[in-house]
Amino acid sequence: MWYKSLICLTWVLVLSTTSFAQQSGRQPSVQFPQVTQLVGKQLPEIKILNSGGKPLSTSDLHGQHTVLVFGCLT
Amino acid sequence: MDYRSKDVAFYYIYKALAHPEHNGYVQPFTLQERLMHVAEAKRTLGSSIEWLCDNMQNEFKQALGGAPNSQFVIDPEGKIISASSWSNPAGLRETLAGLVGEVIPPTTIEELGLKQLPPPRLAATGVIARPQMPSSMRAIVVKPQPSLEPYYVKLRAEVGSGFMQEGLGWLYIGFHLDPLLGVHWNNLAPPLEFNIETPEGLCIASSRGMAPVVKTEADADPREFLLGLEWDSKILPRTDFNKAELILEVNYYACHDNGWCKPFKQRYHIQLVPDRNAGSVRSRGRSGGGFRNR
Repeated sequence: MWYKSLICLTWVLVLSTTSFAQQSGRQPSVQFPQVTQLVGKQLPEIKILNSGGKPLSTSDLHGQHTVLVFGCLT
Repeated sequence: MDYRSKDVAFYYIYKALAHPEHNGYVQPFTLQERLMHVAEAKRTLGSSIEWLCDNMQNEFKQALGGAPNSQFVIDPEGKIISASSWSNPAGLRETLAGLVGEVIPPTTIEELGLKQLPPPRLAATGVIARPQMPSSMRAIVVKPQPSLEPYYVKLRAEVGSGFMQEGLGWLYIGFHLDPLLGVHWNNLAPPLEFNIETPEGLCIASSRGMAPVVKTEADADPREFLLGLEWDSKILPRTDFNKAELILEVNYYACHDNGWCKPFKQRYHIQLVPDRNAGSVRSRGRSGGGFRNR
């Protein structure tokens, strides 16, 4: 079905027992070492927006444990 | 979701499309259009998790490794304490359990009650056969020039690896309707036409092109062209690729689903420089001609 291809958004099931990607056997094999090497580093300060278009900084995300997942429509 | 009760915040970060053309979606040209993508993602996914939006320079994605579906856990001081190349819910649950304690029982997919909705309906597709694409094509930088009207039709440009290595190869230009702007081709009017000016040192097989005449009154197929391209490195050194721009002007007629029909003339500057944020197309490449130049 069409929504099976929303692999960017697989973590919607983040707190369910298994991921959509894993269920469908589509967990990508390509790895990005430049991602995992970021552990221990400070989140860079970058200007982004909320979904309403209001500017905010990534430093506004400090203050609690925060989960970030990159995604898109395709 | 259940970790919200343990003071964990969750955000999706909306970034450039990983696989443009899937379900008809194309890369947005403006921030406003990217925010439309965010709204569309919320609508189609049905999740209550908040979305944030990367800027149009894609700085956040690039700063965090440039992966399409990476996942991070940040501590309250802003330090990255977990990073995965791909979204990994099971691993994330384990990480969060270690940080703030386990949630028992875990939320099930059914409990999330997601109301996922289909992508927008398009006009007829499959009307025009698509070009057989050479292997190893790579997206290059496309710069839409200022326009009073939205870019209802968006250009994607790619070149073959042969061109970059040998100075001779293919230039793909594809004009794709943006499904979020609610338009379709008006085939009762003349078909799309374009012309390209090339800088010194670049020679193109055809500087003008016209899309096929389509008998169906309206459709949503891309208008695509493959053009031979030759590069003379004595005149145009590779180091100057970022300065040498092809200038493309396109004329087309489109109709909005609300009823209006208009002609459009829009311009692009194209650079022979790989665009690392353009994504890769997966669903293209059925055999057939589908293009003609004049």
